[in-house]
Amino acid sequence: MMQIPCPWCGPREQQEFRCGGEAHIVRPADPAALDDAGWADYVFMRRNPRGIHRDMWNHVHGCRRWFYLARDTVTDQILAVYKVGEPPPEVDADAPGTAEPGR
Amino acid sequence: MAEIDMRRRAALPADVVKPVACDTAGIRLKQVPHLGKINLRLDAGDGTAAQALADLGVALPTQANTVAGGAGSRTLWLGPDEWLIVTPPGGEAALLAQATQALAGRHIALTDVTDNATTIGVAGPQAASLLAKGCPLDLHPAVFGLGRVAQSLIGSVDMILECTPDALTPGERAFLLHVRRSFARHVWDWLVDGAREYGLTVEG
Repeated sequence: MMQIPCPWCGPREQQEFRCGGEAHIVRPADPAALDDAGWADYVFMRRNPRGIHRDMWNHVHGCRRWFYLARDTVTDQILAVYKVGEPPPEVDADAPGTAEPGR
Repeated sequence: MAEIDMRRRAALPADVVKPVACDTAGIRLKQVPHLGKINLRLDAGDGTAAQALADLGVALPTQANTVAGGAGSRTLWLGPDEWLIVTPPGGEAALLAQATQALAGRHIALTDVTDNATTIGVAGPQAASLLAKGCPLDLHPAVFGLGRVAQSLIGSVDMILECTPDALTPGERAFLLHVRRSFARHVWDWLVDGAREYGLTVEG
């Protein structure tokens, strides 16, 4: 279990939250031009890295707000928490392009 | 023929909330039915709206997880732009009308959610221990003292937990659990079961 610092409510247990998967996936700018492989890539393919990952989380049993988390998938150490609309902060050992969509 | 006001029916019937006395009770449970509840969505940065509400006696807490107000209505912080105004039973309709008028023309939402939840009072020296059996919050008095509120879980049920002064024991904490009406029976039974080891008084 993790203790997650909700940007609004403060530290709470993980069971109050739901993970919304990988963050910062940008919707294709011209959806009509996308072929099936492009759609599959956008909808299904995720990076699933060993190491630093940026998740979306919802404080579903608390304030019900979405926010972002930078987390190490090996240790579950939380490296950064930031609100929607805030620029993603750099985190230690953050590989170049980690915050980018794509793989 | 007598008219039946459905809203005057408590979520927990009298055969569930049966008075129980215990000389050494660690837990005192009671139902607090019919508290008026108004959900408020508002831009927290709108100072004039906060002032308009203050003129009606509604205080807006801007600090997370806190309660403002007192004897009349009190306001529970639910989120950065969301509050729950709790009024004495029957007080919600008049306040809703006044607040709707006072905030007319603004980008806000005022919703009467009185019937959404009912309230269970948990008091006694073991109250925090009982809640800690099924609530992931840190209930230490230094963290969750008087005037604190949080949305969390009890068992697996959503609740709004409020820390209030204990009416019987000055200086002690008591708790109000605002839970969905349809979950009230389950939460009540869960609390009664959990209170068994501490000794239980039910205030009818």
